[in-house]
Amino acid sequence: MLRLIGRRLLLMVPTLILASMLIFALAEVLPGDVARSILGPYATQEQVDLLNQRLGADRPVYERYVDWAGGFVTGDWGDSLLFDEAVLPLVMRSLGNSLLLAGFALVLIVPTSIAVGVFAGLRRDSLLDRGITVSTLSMTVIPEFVSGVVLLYVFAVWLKWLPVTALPPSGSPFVSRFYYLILPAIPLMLLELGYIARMARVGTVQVLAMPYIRTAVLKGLPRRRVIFGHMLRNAMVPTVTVIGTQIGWLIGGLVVVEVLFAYPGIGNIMVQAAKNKDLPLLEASVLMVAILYMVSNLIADIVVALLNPRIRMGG
Amino acid sequence: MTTDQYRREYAEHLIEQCKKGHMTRRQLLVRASVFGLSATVAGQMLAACGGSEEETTGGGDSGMPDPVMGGTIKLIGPAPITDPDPVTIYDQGGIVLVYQFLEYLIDLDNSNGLKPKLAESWTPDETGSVWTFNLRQGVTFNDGSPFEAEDVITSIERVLDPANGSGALSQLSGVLSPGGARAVDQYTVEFTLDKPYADFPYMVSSGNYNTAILSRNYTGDIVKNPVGTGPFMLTDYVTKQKATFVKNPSYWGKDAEGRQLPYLDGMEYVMVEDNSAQNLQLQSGAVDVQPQTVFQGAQALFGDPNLRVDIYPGTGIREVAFNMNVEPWKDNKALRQAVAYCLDREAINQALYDGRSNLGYDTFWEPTVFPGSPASTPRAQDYDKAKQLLSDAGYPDGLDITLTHAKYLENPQYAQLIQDQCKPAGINVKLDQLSYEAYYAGDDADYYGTTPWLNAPMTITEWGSRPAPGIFAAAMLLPDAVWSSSHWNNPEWVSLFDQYQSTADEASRTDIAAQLSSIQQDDTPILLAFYITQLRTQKKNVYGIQGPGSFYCDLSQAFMTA
Amino acid sequence: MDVRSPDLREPDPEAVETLADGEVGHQEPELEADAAAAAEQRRQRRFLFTALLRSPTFMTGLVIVLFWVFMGLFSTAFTQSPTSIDAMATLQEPSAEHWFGTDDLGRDVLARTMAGARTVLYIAPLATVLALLWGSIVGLVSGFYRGITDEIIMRLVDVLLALPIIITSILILSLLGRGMAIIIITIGALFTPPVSRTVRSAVIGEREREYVMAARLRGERSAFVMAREILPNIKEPIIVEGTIRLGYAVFTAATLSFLGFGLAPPSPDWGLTIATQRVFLQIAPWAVLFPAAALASLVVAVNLITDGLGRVFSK
Repeated sequence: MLRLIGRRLLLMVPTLILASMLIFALAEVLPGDVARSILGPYATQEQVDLLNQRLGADRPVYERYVDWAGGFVTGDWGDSLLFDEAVLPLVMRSLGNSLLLAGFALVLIVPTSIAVGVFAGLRRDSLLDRGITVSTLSMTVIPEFVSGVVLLYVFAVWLKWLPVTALPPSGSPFVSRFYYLILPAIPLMLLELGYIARMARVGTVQVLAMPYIRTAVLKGLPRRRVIFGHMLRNAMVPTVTVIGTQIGWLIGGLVVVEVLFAYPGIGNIMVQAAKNKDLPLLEASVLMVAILYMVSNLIADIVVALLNPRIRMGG
Repeated sequence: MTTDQYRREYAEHLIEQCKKGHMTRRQLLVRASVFGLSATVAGQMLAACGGSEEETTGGGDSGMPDPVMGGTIKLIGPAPITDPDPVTIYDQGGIVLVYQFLEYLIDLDNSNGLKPKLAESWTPDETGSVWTFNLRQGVTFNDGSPFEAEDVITSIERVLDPANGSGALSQLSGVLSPGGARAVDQYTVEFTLDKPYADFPYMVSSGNYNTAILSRNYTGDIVKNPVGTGPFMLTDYVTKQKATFVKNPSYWGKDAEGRQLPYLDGMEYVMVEDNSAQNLQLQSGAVDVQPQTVFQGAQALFGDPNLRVDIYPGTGIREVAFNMNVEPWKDNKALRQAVAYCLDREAINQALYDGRSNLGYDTFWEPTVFPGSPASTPRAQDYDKAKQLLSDAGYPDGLDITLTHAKYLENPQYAQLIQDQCKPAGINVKLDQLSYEAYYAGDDADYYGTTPWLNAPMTITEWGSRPAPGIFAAAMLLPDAVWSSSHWNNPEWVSLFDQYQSTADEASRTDIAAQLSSIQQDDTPILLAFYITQLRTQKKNVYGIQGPGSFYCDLSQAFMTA
Repeated sequence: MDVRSPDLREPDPEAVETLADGEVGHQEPELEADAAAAAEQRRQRRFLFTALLRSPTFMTGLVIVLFWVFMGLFSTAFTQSPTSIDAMATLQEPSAEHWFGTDDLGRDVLARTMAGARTVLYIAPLATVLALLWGSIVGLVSGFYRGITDEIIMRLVDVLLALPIIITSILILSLLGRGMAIIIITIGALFTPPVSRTVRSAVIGEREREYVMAARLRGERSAFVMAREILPNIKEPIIVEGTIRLGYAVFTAATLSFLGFGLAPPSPDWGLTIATQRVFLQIAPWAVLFPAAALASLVVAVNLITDGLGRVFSK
């Protein structure tokens, strides 16, 4: 197992290097003139040249790349032009906020979707079952800002059950953050709910058909408890697999939800950096997201392998 | 003639103007305050004018309960664009923030009159070119050092140094040169101006917000060394998130009953960019005050039983500037006028401000907004005229223009209204919408040449309230103004403006203003379709906030009841 | 959701016609076996077509999509103008005059919601076509040649997939500026890797088949074999992949315009409208909720089509 993980980690290195080249190329080579893209169309050529010189953008591309990548590895990520702050702590702080939100959404996804799936499975082929299946699957394809804005209207503006902001007032205890994260987490949850609920539903239907379950139920054990206990174990593998394959979308969703709720996470920072051509911040945060994405895919693979020893980890 | 005599004569001049009906009572009070006449004297002058009491404007704190001590108040507003530096700030977030721990020689009252702050009194000499300020004694900075004339002089010299790129410089250039401020003694400062200037006190008031008084030892980076004389002290600053303040225990201010100010234990400024998110926080009760409420979405606040929205007769504007350094606006007055005649100002006011703002007609001397200004000629929408002008301008078949603006406040809506209203005349407006940060990007002294807001061909820029027309004009219409988006340079107007600034006599001042106004309107360097009424929203249990809306949110006498 | 078994005895004349149109020059008439195969192919297509017609999932999706295509093309002919401003009637609630109310500039929300379909229906299909085109070429080359070519291409694909699409598109759009063409090319380029993966695995399944061998033995050029022999036989997975990508393209295009990287006002584009009108969620929810519902209906419809198509193909 450990050897496999090690191999996967090693394989990640070239991918990561290529990814960093890609990011660097997109950010600094593609637009042609770095200073021009920072200063905008109204700068004079002298000003552009001056800034290019200051940024070292007049040096050969490979030299700049090596400099930048070296800086990234050694923790020298430069300063954000937009926030007037070192990039490293800023990115780490935002990343922490994002992980809290994403983690909370994941914690909500598992029980909710399994409950929904089992519920539908127990009422197999009923109108309710179809309704649940169709609506949860529809939810997975609706953009997060659409579901987010509707939820915001219903729960925060109309019913006033949940706060409208994603951050509690400062000085509140840490736990209260989760209360504020419920509303932002739901759109993220809806992205995956449909897939996992469908797996749970199929699982339930299969379990129901198993002879020993029928026996247990006939013996008088409460049917739901039997099924639920059994289901949870069976549903874990597909759940983790689905989450693993959907992490890219989850990160995309995170960007949107953070912007919608003005939450200071990595997605929000990235959008702001992109809009303001804050290249040091943009490059570092995109690369961090790429790393995060690869690592979480790896973790998902490992967990799946642990849960289900029949699956071997491929290269 | 002694200064006292001069002042007495000026007071009599004002009374006469008022009696003749050339001046309203409010205008008289404002002018009296500029000349350093005390509130008592002003009151006597009003009595001399006769007539009835007028309504007082701003902050309807009628039936105010007794002050409650303690508590922390939470303000919400946009984050400063960059970490605030009092010498160069220009944005709402930055100004509201520094205003809590820094003070000015003179402050603005709720109706844009002047009231003493770090200066207890000020008087001009008989020519109006030497102004003497008596400073408040016994004031200390929150690092313990005493406030003296030396601090005033270094603060003013700092904004006068072109290397510091201060926006205050464009107000003061031609008025006060480096070396013009002199300490007479420890608590007296004398400003020797380059020319007589009747409105000088405004230049060192919070209305010229870069002139905050800093310690003589100030070396930059106000966030790390927040040394000031204000009622609060900055204790924590998290970029783009929040700023925390505690009360300054040694603050000099006392209320009318002699109680120590501020009443509050502290305050917090929560930075939230998005306006609707700000409103929602306010409604949820998470914050107490929104210093500047924008009309967009404010309807929900008006209807909220827990909130009070104060309405101030503001003078904030949205400057639509034609960049006269570039085509097609360069040397083409008719074209600029054509655009002006496309606007339906009434409809714009209705759409953007619920019809509550005052209309403007492309001049700063607007009597409805700045009392005492000469009458302006209204400009109604007139497509026949616009088309005629367009053809005079050399574009009989219309033309394409680009309007650059930030995605901020109601600017996108305003841009779309302009686009919509220009179309029938054959002017196709292409909208170039930038993010707020991008619109002001590169906006420091090194890069004034690059920032879109000063260099794009046609722009919309938001300006907060200014207390007098001349201050607006000096900030954006003088050829050497740092913040000139129009790059207008009309020598006739410039020399008239110079005269205007030095004239103290109200009658001739009004005459000059009439000429300035008509030249500005005729040449149309910028469109001024409205002067925005200001809103400030607070919870119903919040009382005692001072200042004329907009940037200035004086919390020294604010308190919250249970 | 079930698909009834199609009745083969009653050929659908319309279906036959359509199919005949679709078959241009794929035949090799000099071979007897080919004629038989062509007949078989025709039969299968007819089967598919009737199956699709009878799939309620597919048909529901199709009807909704066609509704929006129609609205996008023609709605301005019978609604009020989507861009005409009425400063005196801003943020009015739904009424007989304005069925969906008005927005912040007094524009008719009904007209804007209907016309809002246009941009996304330009961007998504064109981006999908580009992705299918590029993805098919890359996938064919990669799967057909295998070996080192395949290795290199797939490594690059991995790298591109290591960055969440929304992030990469933000990066590109922020630096290249916005505009319909740039958005289409960006989405098309970023959807190329997943398409090429699908195509590649389909090609690998086909390349050892007899007909490919035969073509090679005849001495056909590789390009010919790929385009004329293999491609027609992997149409199904490409079509399914295409509809999946179409759904994602709608999703991505809307999200980009919500984040402010899409089109500029006064475009009635849904994502943009939701982003600008959500300020008024409290006082004028109609200005946000109607475009949100419209966007949701379109993405769900595209996915219903995908679903229906997938089910019929897998039978």
